Amino acid sequence: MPYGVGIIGAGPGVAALHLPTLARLAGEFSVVHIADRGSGRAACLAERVGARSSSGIDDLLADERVSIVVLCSPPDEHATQILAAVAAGKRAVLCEKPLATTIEDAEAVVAACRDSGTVLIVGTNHLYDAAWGRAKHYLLAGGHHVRAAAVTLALPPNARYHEVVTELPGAATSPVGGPPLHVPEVAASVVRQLITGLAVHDLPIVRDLAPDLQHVLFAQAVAPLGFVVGFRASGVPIRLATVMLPEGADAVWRIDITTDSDVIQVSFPPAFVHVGSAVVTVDAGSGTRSTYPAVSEDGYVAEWRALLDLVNGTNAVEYDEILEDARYSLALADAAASLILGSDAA
Amino acid sequence: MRGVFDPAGIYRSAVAELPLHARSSGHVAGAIGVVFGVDDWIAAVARLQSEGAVAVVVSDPDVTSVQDIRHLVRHTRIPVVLERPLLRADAAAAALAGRNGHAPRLLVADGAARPGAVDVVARELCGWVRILAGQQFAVAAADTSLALLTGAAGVPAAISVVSVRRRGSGHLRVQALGEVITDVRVEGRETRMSTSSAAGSLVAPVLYESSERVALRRAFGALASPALIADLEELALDSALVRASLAAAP
Repeated sequence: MPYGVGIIGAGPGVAALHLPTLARLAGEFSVVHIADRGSGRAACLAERVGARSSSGIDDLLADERVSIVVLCSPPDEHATQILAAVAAGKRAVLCEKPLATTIEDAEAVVAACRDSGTVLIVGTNHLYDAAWGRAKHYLLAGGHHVRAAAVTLALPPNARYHEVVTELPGAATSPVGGPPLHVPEVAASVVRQLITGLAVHDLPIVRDLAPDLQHVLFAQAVAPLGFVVGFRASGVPIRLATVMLPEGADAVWRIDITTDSDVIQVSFPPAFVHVGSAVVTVDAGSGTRSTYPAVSEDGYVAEWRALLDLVNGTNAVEYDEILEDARYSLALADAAASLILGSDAA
Repeated sequence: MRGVFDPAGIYRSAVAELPLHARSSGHVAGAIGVVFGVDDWIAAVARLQSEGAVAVVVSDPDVTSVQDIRHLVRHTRIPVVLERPLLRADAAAAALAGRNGHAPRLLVADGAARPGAVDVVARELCGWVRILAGQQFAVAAADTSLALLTGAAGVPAAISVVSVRRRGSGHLRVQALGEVITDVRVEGRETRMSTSSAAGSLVAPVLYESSERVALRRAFGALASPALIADLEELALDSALVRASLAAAP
């Protein structure tokens, strides 16, 4: 019998991501309840999938058919909603990024889930992508030492990819301009939000490569919306670069790992689409280039299968890893924002 | 037809591949002189000029002091063409042309090379970002492997370069990110480029011409139009940037 899923939130992350993903796992999960603040979107989505809808979170958490709660709500609501789901005795929570917006909140929600045995998973789909598993195996099996890592994103509007996986009524056009990044407080806030909301997709992987965050060397907001950050972790220089664009080329989403002999590239497909896993390419110092083919299962499906293993008890929740991932991204975000504010003060 | 003075034979193949323009010459006077860019290549250029060379090609110039480069600029009256295999002039021109005037929003440049080659890789990464952005850069922050540069027009560039146990002259990857994305990969003497936009991706043709032949052709072109060549000035810019950032960081 499929697990009942209740989704809090009804934005594109639900319509274009989780609903199409769960349709691919209909034998394992069934969406039974969708709630938002009463915009009408939850009702619209629920009707399409034959689920109940409600306003606020209380009815959803009281719905006995809901055993798995998915949080696709604003980030600053995640911690409160996780605690409420735990209090309601729900079996599992899939929390979209970020887990929480402060380290204190992350610690509190992980502790609550651990104490109650609530399964917890964060929607960092890249971590579950089979390609990352392959790249990690290559590093470990070869005894490779990581000398540098870089994460590069250049993203056109998400609407391009929403259009191929769902139908959103009255899709908003992307703003051509951006926030006033010349204002340090705005720049710092933007960079912090982008690290906790976007870079967080890949920071668990970065933490796998270089777990001990040392210091941030530079952090800058990039127009129209983006950032560039350089930092050291475990002695490894790491560069994050992200820019969100009003139009243009297809998405670039890539992690480059430089070892003593090789450069390993993990190229992820655009967000929302279901075209399989990332592709791993290895440029060896010998001059050979090896490309490992993508597998058909994408990171979103893999993430839900990982959740299935956890609720079925065939795998254990790594609460400590979830917490350390959250600490890493929040510490990096805070340090980057402080650097931006501090450099102006200087 | 012009003589090419190349006693070391570095450009023997390139001369053979330009049979209508070039022939080997045992005399430097009136010829294009070829210098291997090791040791004190600056002095070698000056010497060839004093001996009557009409132009000089420097093959794969080592890192040298900015002061020496600028001194050479001030005292050189003949075209000096630099063959930079990791920053080929033809590749750079094609990469820039492919952008069709679209300014990048952000540039990233990552490199890795063995210890003896890492300084050249760092210099060429700086050169690539300068060319793709179409502006000069200043250092905003740096340590020995990471640097943030700020362009004159405000576009940022992030550079990382590390020393590894990798054979060959180095691995470089440069991307100019924006509505148009230029992706340049250099592995040793092979340069591959692509340009992506909303219309799709265009992969540039493979560069089958040797970098030596490109440099020699540029030298012939410079004899006709000396103003075309600013290689020494550009090398000074890129070298200064490396000195101010990665090389100078504590």
